[in-house]
Amino acid sequence: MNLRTLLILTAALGLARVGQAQNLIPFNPAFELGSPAGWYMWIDEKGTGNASFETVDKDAHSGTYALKFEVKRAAGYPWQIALNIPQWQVKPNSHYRLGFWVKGPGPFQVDIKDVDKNYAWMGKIDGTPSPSQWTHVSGEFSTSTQSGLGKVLLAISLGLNVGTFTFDDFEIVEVDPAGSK
Amino acid sequence: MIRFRNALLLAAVLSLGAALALRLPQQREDAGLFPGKPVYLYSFDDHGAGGVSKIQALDRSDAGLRFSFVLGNTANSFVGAGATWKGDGSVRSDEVDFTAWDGLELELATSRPLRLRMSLVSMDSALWKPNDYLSRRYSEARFSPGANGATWIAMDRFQLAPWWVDRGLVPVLDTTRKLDRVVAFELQAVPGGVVADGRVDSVLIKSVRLVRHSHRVGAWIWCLPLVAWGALGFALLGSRKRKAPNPASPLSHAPILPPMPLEMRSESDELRDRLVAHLAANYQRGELDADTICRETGIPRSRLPEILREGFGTTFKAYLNELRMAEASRLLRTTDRTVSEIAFAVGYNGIAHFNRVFRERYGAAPGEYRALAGGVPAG
Repeated sequence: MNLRTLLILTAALGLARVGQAQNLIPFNPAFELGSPAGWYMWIDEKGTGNASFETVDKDAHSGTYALKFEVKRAAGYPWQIALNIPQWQVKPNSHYRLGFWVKGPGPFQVDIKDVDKNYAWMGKIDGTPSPSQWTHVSGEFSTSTQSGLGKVLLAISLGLNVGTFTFDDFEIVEVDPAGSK
Repeated sequence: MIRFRNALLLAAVLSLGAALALRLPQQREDAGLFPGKPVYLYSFDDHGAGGVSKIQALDRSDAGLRFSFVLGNTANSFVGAGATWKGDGSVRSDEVDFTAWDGLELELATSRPLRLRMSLVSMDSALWKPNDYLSRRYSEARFSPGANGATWIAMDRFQLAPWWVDRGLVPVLDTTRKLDRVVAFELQAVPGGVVADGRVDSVLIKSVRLVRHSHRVGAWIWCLPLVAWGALGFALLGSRKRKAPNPASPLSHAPILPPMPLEMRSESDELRDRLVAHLAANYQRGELDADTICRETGIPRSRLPEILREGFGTTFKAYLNELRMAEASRLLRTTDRTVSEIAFAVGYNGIAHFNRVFRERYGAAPGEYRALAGGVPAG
């Protein structure tokens, strides 16, 4: 391999790396730790719901593990049982895209909340999974120009859907306003 | 005028009544933390800290909150579950003042005998940063659940967590427990119970309650002896007017009813607190060893290993090194003192020894650590 070829290859690899948007989920985004460490189950004890979560090592969308979240008894409201995505630092006036794969018994929504404004509701992303097929759920959201916005909570509200959801391969990337990575 | 004999009789009867009243069951008040408050449940393990413990599952059912796990085999392994009633720290009304309570009452069930650690997470305005969970104070108490799973942890058993102090947010000497703004509790399995053999264990948290014992009945009955002995004093004064004082009177030696402690602390708790306070004040002395500490604190030498093992799951040498390392790392990050100065300041008589211990603890030489941590270059 001559020097010119080496330089071209190096440049190509560098460009490819620049083109890959970084997954902003800071910890265990695809559950390949074989553990739900870093992920949070929210249960509002004022409700009536019961739930559990654990990683399973069969039928993952990719890799070895997926997360099984079982709603054993429905709560009064959807948000009273939720799977919370590990929080990460957001920038003001920026645009982000959330994507993940899911199987489950019924529709849900991902509530987007501003942690530093006492969990003020910022919007939602709808999901309509199939019980037997992996479905990709995706949606975008924006942060405002206000100062103080530090973290966003993404809570997958599952309180009304009794049954087993399976999640895998979460990704959050920053996108430009036009929507391309 | 009350006659002396009658006053004596009255005092004796009222004192006896007060003593009996104090033996009546105390009035109990409690408040449920779990179940009872809307909580945000989470699980965690030592993976992020380089450990190999693994949380397996978190299960909220009618029986309680169960976490299943495999505990790692290192001394610093931990795995557990927590509940917070406040996610971000912005709503002050969500905080709970634990200092108004005597202790925590836990109802647990474990898969086999386990050593556990209860941590309380509290807000500290002086330290708090919105996105830094370490800017909350962690206080902890280790325990082994009772045979029936019922456990009582007196509030004064909680000590500021050594690992948290190690993060260098506060000086080692600042061991203040601030339990007036608690926002979460965490229950962890730690080494010290069963041997870490790779088996899946579980802890079921049935309930966690704040408990205090009030003395509404006892409080005013405490006044009775005072009234009684006051009356006796008047009677004595009156009798002095009629006759000369009798130095042989048994009343001149009558004991005042001693104040009865409302809650007993164990001897181990006392010794542990004495040890912690003494070490925090003396860790920088290079000649400090276990014998010296025991001699200076009056702690029986034979009890020292047990106190450290029960209280902190560690040995004397390891505990002292942790204290010194925590302060050394803080000084490296926040001052421009030279490594030699810091080594001597925290109790090491030789720089080579300090460097070796530091490298073992942090995986880097002190100078490298300072650079990596963005500390102040030595001046």
